[in-house]
Amino acid sequence: MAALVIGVLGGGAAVADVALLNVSYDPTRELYQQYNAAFAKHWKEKTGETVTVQQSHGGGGKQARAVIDGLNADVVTLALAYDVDQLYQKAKLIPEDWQSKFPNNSAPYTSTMVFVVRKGNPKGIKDWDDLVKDGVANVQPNPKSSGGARWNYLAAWAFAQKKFGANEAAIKDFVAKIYKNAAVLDTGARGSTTTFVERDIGDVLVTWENEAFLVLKEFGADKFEIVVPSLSILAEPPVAVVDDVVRKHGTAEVAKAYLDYLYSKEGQEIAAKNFYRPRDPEIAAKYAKQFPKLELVTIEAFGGWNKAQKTHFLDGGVFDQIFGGK
Amino acid sequence: MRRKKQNLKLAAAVPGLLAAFALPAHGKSDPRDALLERLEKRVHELEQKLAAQPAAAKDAKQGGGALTSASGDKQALDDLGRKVRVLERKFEVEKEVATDNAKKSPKFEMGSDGLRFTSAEGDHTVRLRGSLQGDAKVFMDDNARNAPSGSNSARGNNIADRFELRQARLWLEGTLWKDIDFKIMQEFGGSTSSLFDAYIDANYLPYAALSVGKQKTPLSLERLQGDADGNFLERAYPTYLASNREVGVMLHGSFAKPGYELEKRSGPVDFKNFVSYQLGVFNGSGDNTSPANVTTDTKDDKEFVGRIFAHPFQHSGVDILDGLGVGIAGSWEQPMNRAVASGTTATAASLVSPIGQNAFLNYANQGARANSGTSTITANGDHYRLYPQAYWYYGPYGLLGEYVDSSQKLLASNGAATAATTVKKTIQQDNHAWQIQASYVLTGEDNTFQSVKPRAPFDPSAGNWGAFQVVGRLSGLTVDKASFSNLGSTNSQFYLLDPTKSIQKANSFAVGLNWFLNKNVRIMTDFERTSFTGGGGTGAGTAASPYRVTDRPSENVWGTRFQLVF
Repeated sequence: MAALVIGVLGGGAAVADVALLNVSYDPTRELYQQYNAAFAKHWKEKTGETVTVQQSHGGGGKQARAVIDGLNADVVTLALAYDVDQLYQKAKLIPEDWQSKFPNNSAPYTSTMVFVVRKGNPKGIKDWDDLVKDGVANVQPNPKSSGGARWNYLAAWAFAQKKFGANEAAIKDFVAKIYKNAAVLDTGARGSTTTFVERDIGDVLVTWENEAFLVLKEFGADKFEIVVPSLSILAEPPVAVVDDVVRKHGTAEVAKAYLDYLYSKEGQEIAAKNFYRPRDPEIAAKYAKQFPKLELVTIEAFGGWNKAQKTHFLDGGVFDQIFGGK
Repeated sequence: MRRKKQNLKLAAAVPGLLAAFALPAHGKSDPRDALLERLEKRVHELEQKLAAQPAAAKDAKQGGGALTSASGDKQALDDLGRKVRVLERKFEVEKEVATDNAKKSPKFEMGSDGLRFTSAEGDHTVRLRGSLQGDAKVFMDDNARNAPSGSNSARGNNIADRFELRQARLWLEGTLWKDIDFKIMQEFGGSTSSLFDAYIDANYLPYAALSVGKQKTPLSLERLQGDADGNFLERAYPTYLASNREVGVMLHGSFAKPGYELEKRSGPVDFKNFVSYQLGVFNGSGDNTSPANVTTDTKDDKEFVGRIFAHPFQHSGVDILDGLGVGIAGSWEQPMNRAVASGTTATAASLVSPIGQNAFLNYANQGARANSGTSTITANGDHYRLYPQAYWYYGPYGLLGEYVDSSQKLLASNGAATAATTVKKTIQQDNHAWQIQASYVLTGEDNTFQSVKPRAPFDPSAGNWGAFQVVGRLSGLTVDKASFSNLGSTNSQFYLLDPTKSIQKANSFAVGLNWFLNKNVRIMTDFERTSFTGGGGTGAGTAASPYRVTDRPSENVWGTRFQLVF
């Protein structure tokens, strides 16, 4: 009985602390490490509560499936809206209108897809059409498991569309050649970075802009350089509170505050420092020099994520058709 | 120097890569094997060429041809290195994907534990299990020449030697949502197919779990031992004074010794942890009632059963006492006019010889004795049982013992047609039974309550013979004398039990040898001698011919069993 009483009292004392699990995609490790510390400080000052945020990272598609299968994420910060939408479609963990819960369609920062090449750009890679050349090996993740990889694919498709117009056969052939030149298709963006940088495989890494900057920062601008293609896609990684989980954990308020804070000046500044393009005009202007200007198509050019997913990435879709023969 | 380093890197990478690729190949021709073979050959050729380069450089003084060749080789070596690195990385990615897929795929295992399906995350498990027992029993010195006149098999003579399909069971057991255990067991042996176990056991709290359904009542220690785990072909007398399987609800729990982790038990009864308890309410159907299809109750009266069992010296550091388990169980019920004679077979409300399984006391088979006329016997009032019990296992040694004090109020009626001639008599029948058994594993394996697992399964070609165990048992039963007393008058006798048909005392002595071929197959052979006193041995008398009450002849039985359990 004494043990029981102590246990209950002990449990009561711990109520002031709160823990959140943020399930995210591959390249956001560094962003959220920094952001979590800032948010914890902010929350402590505001409420007196100590908040601990745990992070989980992996290919965006895989991460969404893990949450659907029972991983108790309080919030998700994934690579694309389609993956977040699956939490509603497959398990009703979030409301159908989840994208309206936060500003900018619940995407607090944006990014785009660029190239990283070895110093001096020995293969002279400038744009997407250099990736189809014989002898140019690219490294990127597999669109079947990675959200970032799907952005890569659609950016290449948009470039080919601009180049070949309505000639869909030529577009398909162009994109197919890129994937035929892929040395390794990793399961996530961070895996591709490892392949390119640490394993010294491939001539060009196709990746998130923030990941490209990170490669230069971590592994040396004397070894790699970023090549910005003429056209890419506006990647809008979305965020959402997982309602079913926070209801169970009693963390609804802090989870919402956690994502709200991403839109604050401080949150936006942290995003920019980690090479994500901020939404806040003031912060965006401050970091404008960091982000090169290029033509960006949006997911709307593909009819939205549901249509893009169905056409290109579901089993038997265009990606399977063009890549199946490899 | 740099070239040498590159050679070393390649030399290390190729065998590593080959080893890595060897896993998925599994004897099937894998196109990657051929590719790797070619790569290995090419590396070897290039290494040989590079080793010869100092000589080539010397020759180059006389012309530039050799240098050009060396530069070409370096390029080829670089290309090859790249290919190896790509293949290595691709393999890593494939492995990552395969590991990820394996985590999501349900597992199917087929082995000596039967078939087991487990969900990817391990929360759900279903296991298909079964058991078969084929017995042979030979009764010795049981021919009519040795018996008094009027004797027959019901009185212990001319007992048929027989082969029996003692047990043929299939069951599903498992766990759903990590904490909900279940078991559904059907018995196909004997003459009818019947549901023996069917329960759900909610184990959210290990110290307060709840099982609902048809299950063994927690009374007799030997009854709670797995049906195929016992040392002898059949259980001893204390088991026959306990209820068998009953439908009801039971709260149960286990506690680990402070500072130690609780072990997961299988089923509602625990023989692993420091202390365990069971508290149950069941329909109640009397002593040793057949478990076949006991699924309903016609009365409000219920049987309350409780048991506590402990391993007081577990983790004490005193090894010799670590496997000592002691406990006590008890039951109480107050049935009203419940038949205690639901049939005439050995499995229905009868007391039987342990290994022979021949009825020597049957409440339903008293018949109308002259001047008696007892026709029905019912349980009608307090019935309690007390079961002190213990076992001890240490290395190859094992001991198990239990005692039961059972008291039940019985009502006998002559079943007369009119109230005026109806005679009813009541007794409080106090019965006792006990047993002690010892076992020793000759081959040195651990002796346990859950059977013996041979260290090396039977394989004569490898010189492995499985495990052998010798066993011995003493067991006795005493039926209340009042059951055999004349409750009426000299002219109008009234006996609850007919001493010419039922015995008052039985004592059995058994020895046996168990051969465990492997953890699934066992061959058993037992000899048991049972001596009876207090009647049951002569033919029925008549008013004109006085009764001659003699003891039932001793029963000598040799039994064997071939058992398979998975």
